[in-house]
Amino acid sequence: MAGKHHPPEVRRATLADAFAPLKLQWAVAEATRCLMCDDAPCQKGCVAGVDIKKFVRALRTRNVRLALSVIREANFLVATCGRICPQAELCEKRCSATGLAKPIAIGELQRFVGETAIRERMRPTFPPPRSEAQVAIVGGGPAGLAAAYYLRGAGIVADLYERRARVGGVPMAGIPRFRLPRDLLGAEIGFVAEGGARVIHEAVTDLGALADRYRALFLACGLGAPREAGVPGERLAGVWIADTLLELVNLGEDTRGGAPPRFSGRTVVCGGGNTAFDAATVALRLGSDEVVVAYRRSEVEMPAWPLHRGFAVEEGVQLRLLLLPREIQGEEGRVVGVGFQRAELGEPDASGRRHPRPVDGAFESIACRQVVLALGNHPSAGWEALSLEAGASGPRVDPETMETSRPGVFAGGDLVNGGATVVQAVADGRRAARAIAQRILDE
Amino acid sequence: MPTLQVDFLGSTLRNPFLLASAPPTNTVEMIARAFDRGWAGAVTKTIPLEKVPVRNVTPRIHSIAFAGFAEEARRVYAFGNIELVSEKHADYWMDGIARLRRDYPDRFLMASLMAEAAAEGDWVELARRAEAAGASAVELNFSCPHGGMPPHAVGAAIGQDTAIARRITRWVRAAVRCPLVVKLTAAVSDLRTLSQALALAGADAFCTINSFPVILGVDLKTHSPLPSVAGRGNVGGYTGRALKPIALRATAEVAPAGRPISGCGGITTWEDAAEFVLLGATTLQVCSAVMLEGYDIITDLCDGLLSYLEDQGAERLDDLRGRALHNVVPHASLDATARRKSSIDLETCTRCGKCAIACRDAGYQAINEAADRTPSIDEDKCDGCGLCIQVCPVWDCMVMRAV
Repeated sequence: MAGKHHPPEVRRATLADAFAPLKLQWAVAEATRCLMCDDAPCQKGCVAGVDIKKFVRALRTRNVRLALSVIREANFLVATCGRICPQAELCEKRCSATGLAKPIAIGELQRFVGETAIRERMRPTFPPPRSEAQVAIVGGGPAGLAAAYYLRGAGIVADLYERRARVGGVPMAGIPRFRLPRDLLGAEIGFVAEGGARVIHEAVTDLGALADRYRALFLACGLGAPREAGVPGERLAGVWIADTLLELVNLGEDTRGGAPPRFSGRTVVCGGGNTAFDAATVALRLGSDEVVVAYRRSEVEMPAWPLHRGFAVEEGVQLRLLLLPREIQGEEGRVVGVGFQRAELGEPDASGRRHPRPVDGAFESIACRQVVLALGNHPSAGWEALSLEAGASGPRVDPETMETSRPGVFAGGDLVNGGATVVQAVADGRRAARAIAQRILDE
Repeated sequence: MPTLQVDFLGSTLRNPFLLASAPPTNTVEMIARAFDRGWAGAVTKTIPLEKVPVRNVTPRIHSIAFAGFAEEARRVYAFGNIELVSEKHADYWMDGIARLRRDYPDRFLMASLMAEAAAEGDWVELARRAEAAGASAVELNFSCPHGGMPPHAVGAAIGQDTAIARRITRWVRAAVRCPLVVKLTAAVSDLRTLSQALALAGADAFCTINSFPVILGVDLKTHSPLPSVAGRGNVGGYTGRALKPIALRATAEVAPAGRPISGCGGITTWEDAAEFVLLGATTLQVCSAVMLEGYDIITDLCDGLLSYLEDQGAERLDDLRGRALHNVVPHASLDATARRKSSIDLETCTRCGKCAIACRDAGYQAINEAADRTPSIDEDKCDGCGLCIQVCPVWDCMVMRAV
């Protein structure tokens, strides 16, 4: 179910929170609507394996504390995932109440629990530490943080290496702050440091040495650099890489990157993933009069989730389909438009989606003052130094334990799945933590 | 760390929750499955002797549900049933009790028994066999509302007659050494006298209460009471949430008899359970909630009750037991000088006007609505009855404030 957002005309004018606050009464009423199905199909849809039936039942009797501990057991990013998980594709997709009227708003219920917990300072409690500094985690995104959190829950204090000034990974740098306010995410990932995990802000240059020094190593260093379009004009003023733009808007003031830029006129976003739509909604808020998302294939092939698209379209973001960027046009070093070649759909490619085939001689330009490129990321690099067996993307891992071909080295998150959801990264981190803890505590 | 462990009739239970004698304890296998899910104990479906024929009708369960809105699910808040005692007889159950005792030595297993009012030998036989089979206690069913085995008095017909109930209690007391629990009906004028008489006759504990006799409804087309058995019906037993207030009163009335109480009647959530404990219950029996949602609610009941203990800063349920009893006082002892008036939180008010309607037509005409439907309380007219707060659909929007 879509979140309870502020109306589009209100939210598109500000970088402040786009979600409306939720009240206890709403949560109890919504929880009461739950049919409490026998086999809880929603839970099978949850990547993190949250005991949804149990937490919803707890909310029915206003037992927020119990609901919280049930969710945290499987996913410590309670409010975060309540906001940004694609529930319509996961838990809510399978809700039996859909047949009655509409699915239970599981994501919003989880958001309510998470936000109440932060407001009322319901901190997780950890057992006394049993073991220190035997585990290193590389990467302070959701997967790495989850591993640290769940290791701490097993009594193991890990060392977490993060090359950036702030932990939080993609949700911190790349998810617009009006979808996921910084203080809210900060509070949830803050529990990891509060629990005692040591965060070491340095770039790891020698993974081999690290693997030798620690009894277990968890690699969660995410994806590589953003892809470029490979067309003329990418260096013109006014051309942005989506990741860079999003990070500047989110963290610019903290990282001395400066204040967010001001946009004007039309902005064209190239891409069709969730990042493209995040960038489009950011572009609106930076002052664009009009924002156009231009995608190579048709709406059916678009990787962005329908509700995420809907959020942007509601705010006035326009969609142009079957357009291949060929050049970014400039005058006096500044972008003035994008030249596209029209495409039609051909045969399915390796991704199973129909391939865009250029139509001879069909060109068109869209005039604009900003271009944002949201074309995905290169696969992660660096892990090859450990000579691990490769999988479909990144190192190959055992799906139960997240262990790589090298014993004692584990990996998870975007690094191994090629870029998926935050909840998937949390699930990976937790799985690795469980396997690592079992091994260390068994010895 | 707080614990839900309770001591009841010489046994230590992992938590206070027992399955009541009812459909969830229809068979030995079902009880075993419930034990596997975490129930601390169970009371068998009421056991008759072999010679007693038990012939159930169909259908025999009906319910009352919130009308709700079209898009909402049907939500039961009360059941009514005309189901008889167990269709399985003493042989089955005594064998089953022995098996459950062997497989689940730590669970509280109570044998619910029923025989005719004058049949001393039957009562004694049932109780002795249950004790020999290894029952933790016997529960005398003086409370089943259908009078299921005519023409002789059984069930509630016994519980409504102090002399008969006392006599049977004495017979059983003299026959067995295991704890003896009497399950009461609230369909009597006074449970205080009855419970004290039965305590003197040897009852070790009480279960308050069995289902309440009702006619659940009438089919408007066929003119048959519900549930309708080929066009005719019968007085049935009312259970579920709707029964809870009656059961709470009964629990408070029985408490002065000084025997442990197994609270029973509409316990659906941990909050309900806590209320029974505050009014003196030691263990808690559940049926309708399991009929609706299955054995798994045990984790919800336990988790919720445990976090309530933490909230209250209590270590054990014993610390809270009976805490509300001394606050149940005669009306004349209430403080009539403490005057309070309604107030409205306009932040959460939805401007539905329900408070204004209630006050206008069933109160003191003390709530005015502005042109934009914003309500306001005329404090000179407000008499403090509290009706508006009850009809307000928003929690904590309207509260009583001291003046």
